Amino acid sequence: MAEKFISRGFVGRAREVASDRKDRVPPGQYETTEFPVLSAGPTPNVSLERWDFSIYGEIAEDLKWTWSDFQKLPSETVRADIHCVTKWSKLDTVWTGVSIDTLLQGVDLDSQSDVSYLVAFCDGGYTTNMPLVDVRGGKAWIVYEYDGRPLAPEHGGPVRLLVPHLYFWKSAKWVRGFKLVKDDRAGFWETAGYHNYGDPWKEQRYAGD
Amino acid sequence: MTQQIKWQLGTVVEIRQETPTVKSLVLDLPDWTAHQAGQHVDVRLTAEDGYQAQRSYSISSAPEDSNVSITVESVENGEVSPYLTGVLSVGDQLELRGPIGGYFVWNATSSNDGSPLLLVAGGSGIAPLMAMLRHRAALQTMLPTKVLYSSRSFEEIIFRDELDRLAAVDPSL
Repeated sequence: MAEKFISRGFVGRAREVASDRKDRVPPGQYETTEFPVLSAGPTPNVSLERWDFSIYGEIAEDLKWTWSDFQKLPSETVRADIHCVTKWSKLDTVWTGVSIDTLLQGVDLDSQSDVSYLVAFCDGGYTTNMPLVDVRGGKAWIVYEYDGRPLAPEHGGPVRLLVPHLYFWKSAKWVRGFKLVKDDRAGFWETAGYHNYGDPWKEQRYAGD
Repeated sequence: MTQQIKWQLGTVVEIRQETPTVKSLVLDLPDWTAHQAGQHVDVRLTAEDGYQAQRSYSISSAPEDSNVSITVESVENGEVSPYLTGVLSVGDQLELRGPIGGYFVWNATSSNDGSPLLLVAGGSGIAPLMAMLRHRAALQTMLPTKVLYSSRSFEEIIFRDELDRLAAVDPSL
C-alpha cells in the first residue's frame, strides 16, 4: 500500500551531486554537519580520580583499569560515519581511544565461547547490549578524544563507547565497563521500544523492524 | 515476536495555525493503537522520483482525543517541516508510523505514584508535554503539576490560549 504513495508537492532537497557521499547515508537518514546532543538524563559529573573501566561478568577473571592505566593503553585514531536513530547521520567523525580488542586481550574468550553478549554500563545508569562479535575485530573503541580534543561531557566524556556500524544509542556515553554474559539481555532503549540490534543499513530502529 | 510498527497513510482533517511558524496537523489514521502521552511518530515523505525523507514528530494530542495531532515548527532551510507547514493541506495524505517510544512518556494512571509532575520545555519542545497536559485534563486528575515553558517571544508561545485556559480552571496546575 505505502509502496506507491507519493507525497503531493514534495520535492525534497536538491539531490547530492557526489553520490559517494549519499551512498554513505543509510535509508531514512539525513546528513548533518552539526553534532546534536540527545540524552535521557542529566550529564554526570565524573571524577577522573575515582574513574575506572571494568570488564566483568560470566568470565573467569575480572579486569579493571584506572584512568592512568587506561591512558597508557595503545590508542588508535579512527574516522567513522555515525548514525543516530533520530535520523541524523554525521560523516567522517574522528575519534581517538582504545580498541575493544586491546581491552579483551586479557579475557580468555576462546575457552569461554558461550559468553557471546555484552551489556555496556555507564555513569547515570544507562545500559545497552550487543553481541560480543560486534565489538571485536577492529569494529569498536572506548574513545576519549573527538576531533583531536578531549571528549566533551555532553558527548559522553571522559569516555564513550564507539560502535559506528550500529545506531548511535549503542555507542554509550559515560561508559564505565562491560558485563560479559552468555544470554543476551536488553538495555535501556532496547527495553523502551527500540530494536535489540540496531543495524542502520537494515533500518532496525524499533522493536519488530 | 514483536510486531513491526507499520507505515500507514493518514489523512489531514484539520490544520491549526498555532504561531506564525508553527502548525498542528490533525490526522485521521486507519490503524492506530492509543498512544501514551510523550510518544512520537515517524513521518516519511516520498517525491515523484522515489526520493524519501523521514523525520520524527511528537504527538501533541491526548490519547483520549478522537484524532492524532502533531505540532510542527517550520525550520528555516529545513526539508520536511517547510513541506508539512507550507504545502500539506486538509485532505492530503501523509505517510507515518507510530506510536513510538517508551521512555519519555507519562500516563496519568500507571505513571502516577502520587508524586507531582514537573514539565520543562523550550519552543516546540512543548508538543509532547501538551499531550501530557491534555491527557491530565481529560482524566481530570488533580495531581499537582507545574509547567515551565520558555519561548523566544510572546508571539511564538505555542498553545498559549489553551495553556492559560487549563491553568485558569485548575488550581493544581
